[in-house]
Amino acid sequence: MVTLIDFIKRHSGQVMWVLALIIGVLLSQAPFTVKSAISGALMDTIYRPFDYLSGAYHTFKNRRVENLQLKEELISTRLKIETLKEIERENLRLRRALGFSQRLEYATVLAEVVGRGNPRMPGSIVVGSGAKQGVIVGLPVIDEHGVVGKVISVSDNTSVIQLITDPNLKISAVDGRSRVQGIISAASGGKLVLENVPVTADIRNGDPITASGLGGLFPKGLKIGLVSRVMVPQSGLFSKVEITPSAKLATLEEVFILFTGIAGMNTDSVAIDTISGDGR
Amino acid sequence: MTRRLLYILLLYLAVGMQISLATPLPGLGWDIDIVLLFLVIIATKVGHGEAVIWAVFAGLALDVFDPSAMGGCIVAKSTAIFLFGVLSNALNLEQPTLLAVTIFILTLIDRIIYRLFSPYSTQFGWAFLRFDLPSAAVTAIAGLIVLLIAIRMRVFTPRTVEE
Repeated sequence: MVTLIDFIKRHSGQVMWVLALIIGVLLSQAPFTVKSAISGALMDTIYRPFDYLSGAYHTFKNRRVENLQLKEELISTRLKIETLKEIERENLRLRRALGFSQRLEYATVLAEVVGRGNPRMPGSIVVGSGAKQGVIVGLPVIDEHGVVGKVISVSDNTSVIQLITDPNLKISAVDGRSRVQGIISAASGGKLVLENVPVTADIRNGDPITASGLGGLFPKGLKIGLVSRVMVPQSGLFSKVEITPSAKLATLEEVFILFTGIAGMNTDSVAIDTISGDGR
Repeated sequence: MTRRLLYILLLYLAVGMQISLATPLPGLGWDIDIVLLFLVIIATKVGHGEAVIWAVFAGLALDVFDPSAMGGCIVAKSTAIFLFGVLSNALNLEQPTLLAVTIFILTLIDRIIYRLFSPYSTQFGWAFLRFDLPSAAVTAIAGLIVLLIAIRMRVFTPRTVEE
């Protein structure tokens, strides 16, 4: 017995290998049901953590894919919401415009702004209403806040509007409080200036400036803007009055073209409202 | 005792890595025999008699996944490690390059033995050239890298360096 143990100790490698061969061969020759039972038992015990980890990994992977899909849906839904919000804002704006047009004494055409900033005509915009909607050259254009400009060119479905900030357009205007009259023309920085105002005239900051109606183009009383600064020269007869336009010219989206009844008038015969530097 | 518990844990991790991370490379079908590498490292630490016992456990753990060839991995791994013991007694196998070549040969022996136990009928020569030879090379390269890292980290010190 001692000799056997000594032998095993001295030749442990060989003995273990032979035992391993015996175990391996026995297992390989065992019935398949036995092999399956051993395999199943070991799988259920020692490999459960790996199974769990593998499951967790696949779940994580699926969640990641799901997460990406949900993010895509979220972005798509946000875009839809933004579109709906924009439609809601447009709806509100058009409702206000509709209410405004109903208060006007004149027939109007609501025209959508379809273009602006033409390099050749920086003081103009293009609207999506033209001859087919009855628009003709010379009609005044306003928004719900005040005077925007006038129609200077018409095609079938579009019209070009000369803005009041165009230096070539001059409008006869009156101070709504003191009734002092002058001529509105464009100034730098999107402002207007009321010219030909005597230095002694009673004009203050905040006074409303409206169309005087003398030119015959813009109906009397249409709001043009508010006095923002009065500049009295050291010498001279006339002071300059800076006006901030009432119309939201920078953010125009829809405008009203007024059918004032002067359409078709010979513009040359119109006094101040049709004075324009380029002969229009 | 603590050392053996550590080896059990490492063997468990090695088998886990073998069945999860070391799956055959897509399109090539080659794989690194992490368990064999682990057994070679164990053999250099605990001696070949005990290493064969670890090889039996490792083989059984791998045989679980293919009941039809059960026993094949036990015989293959234990034979490979037994041969490693025989070779390392004859040669100075602790030199990394020589050890990598030995790992290459052991992987080939391991795979050939396993194919003998496998019931799947494949063309032996074709499978040997297409899968076994490249897998052995990949395992040897991986083993060399592991050994070089181990030497750099002073976890494994070849006898020649010690001297």
